[in-house]
Amino acid sequence: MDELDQLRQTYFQDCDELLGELESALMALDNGRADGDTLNDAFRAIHSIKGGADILHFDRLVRFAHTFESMLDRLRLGKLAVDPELASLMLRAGDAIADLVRAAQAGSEMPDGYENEIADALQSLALAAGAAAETAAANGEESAALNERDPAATVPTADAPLRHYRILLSPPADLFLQGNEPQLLIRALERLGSVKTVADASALPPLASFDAEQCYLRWTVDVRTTAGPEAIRDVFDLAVDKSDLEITELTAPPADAAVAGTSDAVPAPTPATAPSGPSPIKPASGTVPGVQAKAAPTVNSIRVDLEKLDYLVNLVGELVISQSMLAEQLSVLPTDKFPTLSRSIEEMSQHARNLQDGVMAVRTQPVKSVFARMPRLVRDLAVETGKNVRLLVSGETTEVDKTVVEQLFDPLLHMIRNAVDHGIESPAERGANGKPAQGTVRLSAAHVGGRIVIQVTDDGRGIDRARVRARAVERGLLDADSVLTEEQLDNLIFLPGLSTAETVSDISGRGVGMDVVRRNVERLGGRVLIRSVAGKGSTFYLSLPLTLAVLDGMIIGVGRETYVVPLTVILESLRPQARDVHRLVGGGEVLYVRGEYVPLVYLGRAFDVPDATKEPWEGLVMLVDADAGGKIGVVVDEIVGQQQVVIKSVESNYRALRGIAGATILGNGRVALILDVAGLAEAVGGAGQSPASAAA
Amino acid sequence: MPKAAAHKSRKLRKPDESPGDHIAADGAVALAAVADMEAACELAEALRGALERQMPVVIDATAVEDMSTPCAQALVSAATSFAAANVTLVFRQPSDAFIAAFNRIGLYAAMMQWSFVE
Repeated sequence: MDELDQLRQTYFQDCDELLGELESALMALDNGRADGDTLNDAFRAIHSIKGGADILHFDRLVRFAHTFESMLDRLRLGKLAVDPELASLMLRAGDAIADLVRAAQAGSEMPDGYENEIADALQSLALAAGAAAETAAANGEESAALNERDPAATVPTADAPLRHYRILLSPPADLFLQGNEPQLLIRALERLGSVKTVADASALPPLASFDAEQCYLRWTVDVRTTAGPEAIRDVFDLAVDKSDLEITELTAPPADAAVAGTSDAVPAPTPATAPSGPSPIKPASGTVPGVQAKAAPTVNSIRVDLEKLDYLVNLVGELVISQSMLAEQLSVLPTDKFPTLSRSIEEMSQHARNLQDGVMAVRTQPVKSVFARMPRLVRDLAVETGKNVRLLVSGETTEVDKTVVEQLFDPLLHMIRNAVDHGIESPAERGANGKPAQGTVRLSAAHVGGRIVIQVTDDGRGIDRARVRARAVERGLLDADSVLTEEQLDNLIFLPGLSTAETVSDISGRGVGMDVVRRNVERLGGRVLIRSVAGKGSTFYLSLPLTLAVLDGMIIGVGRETYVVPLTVILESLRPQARDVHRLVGGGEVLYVRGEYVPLVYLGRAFDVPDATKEPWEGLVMLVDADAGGKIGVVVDEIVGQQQVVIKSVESNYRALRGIAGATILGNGRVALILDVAGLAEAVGGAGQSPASAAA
Repeated sequence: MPKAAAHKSRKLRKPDESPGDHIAADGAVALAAVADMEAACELAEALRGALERQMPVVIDATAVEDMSTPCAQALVSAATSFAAANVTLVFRQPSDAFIAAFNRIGLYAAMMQWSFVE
């Protein structure tokens, strides 16, 4: 990957975050929260997207962002007020920005004129706000009137006063290794105005000790431009750490720039004043207040490539395995003869555990990044379906492994679409049923027992079980005379090809959505449950592991084989009496435990393990929570012990296996399969099996 | 700061490879059209070898279309070291892109102290 590619990669990573922030801000504006902070958030996001695009020569994106930014600036200055029409327009403009960014990332182009209609509308509004001079901005010509009031604008204008900045750039020695090329930065400065660059080569060593990968140069760059300090700073935003940069304005900034230059400040909603003429040159130490204020904060976070993190996670996983092997070896030695060794291995075990927890914590992310996209989805769906729906979100700061976060979007998308399209009734129907016209969809996340549980609840009509059943029979997915519980009927909606929507729309009704939900969630080692009450609404429960890399497991023995059961699903273990085990007429067995009957799954039979215990009372029964299947009893020979294990994917190394969540390497070096107990219950046709899964 | 994968480090010279292998017997070195960091590493090593052998070098900069900063600073270091050792280092027909890059990086003054030949 060359330097430019690395810069692009960083830019698009930033864009992901910025587009998310923009979307949140625009949704807040759409919900009537047009305060200064929200406007500034939107402005900053657009401005940063534009700044990076300028460096990378995404000219079309720059032009459109500039038009959008101009309109936002009119709002910041109080020249425009946000009304529903404008809010919708801004959401569309946000979409257009996102599309242009994606096209730039893919190296493609959106169709000619794609953004013109929106750009024209933005411009018209700006014009209506009395900014006639800005009409040229959408065509890439720069607006003097705008930039005078917007010191943050990146593009210089002819009429604004010329400002003189001195930039001292003292990059780290590994500047080049980080993929930076100073010439790109200087070129970006050249687009702002005239640039004079002097390199200090005094640190350059003789050839004998010269390392071509190190940067030995320091630069002093004088820039004369009409652009504000924000524009100068933006050039370096992506490439250079703030501590390596000092920007000083040698001319006094225009009267209004000192306030507006700090991006966090909200400019007073007053008309712009004419810029002052060039001020007397300040001493070199006269740093621009706005620039200093921005540069001063210590950088307390860094961006780390996920691959590097995964590498680290893998290494820690191997360390844990090695530690387990060491502990296993120690167990055969008389500990009283090697007390120091024993203690050291114990300590090492604790450190390895802490290290693993620490590394895994680095990978966690709040689910907010996914949740933040849902309000917009609900809004658009409500408009499209003519329904009145509000979305209430809670628990968005709940953290989960990044991989899980990334995989959450599709399932949530389908579930929320389903809730709005199928669940929530039309205002008229709701009124007739005595419900408020506005339907509610609740989206929440919480940590429950070592897993993350996400709920999507609607107060709509609930699942129409009669129609689900009729459709399943019609499609040949269910026998007409099958007797199903309500829960089993509800689960039919997860069958591929089953949809009860009257009409197939772009929203849902194609019968693919809920199938996708279940498949995606199961692939993550999760479960999806549904509870529905006719006339009251439905709730989807998504239960997912917090991480896909390690788990606390119970090591169990079956015959000569060893398996791992995730600790979080184990409720209790017991040795039953023979009289408590009952055989069912149609096959299968149940165990009577304290007033309830629990279906039994024999691991030995399921995996055809020779020498496995034949009867539950000869071995042990492990009661586990199999989610949709409820409680089941897993018959095993013995419980070996508890251990944190590193999950290795079976699917990526072999293929997906029902009932197997993954594999791991134990301390004795043997590979053990990690059980997916709910999947196992379904696979072996235990009582925990649902008809839906059987048909699938 | 971009934290993308680091540039691949240059490998150590093989034992049977003598320094300056990239330089022709007459001391001529042609810069590639894209003089990037990889080229800078190779150039620095080749020039280091030539300097160790007190070998005069002519660097042909005719073809340069893209001159990176790592390559530019390698040449400045080399020019200074050759001058200090009193070994000839001259440049042949630098392209416009070559000169523009030195100007942009702020090393134009350093470049103008070098010897150029047609």
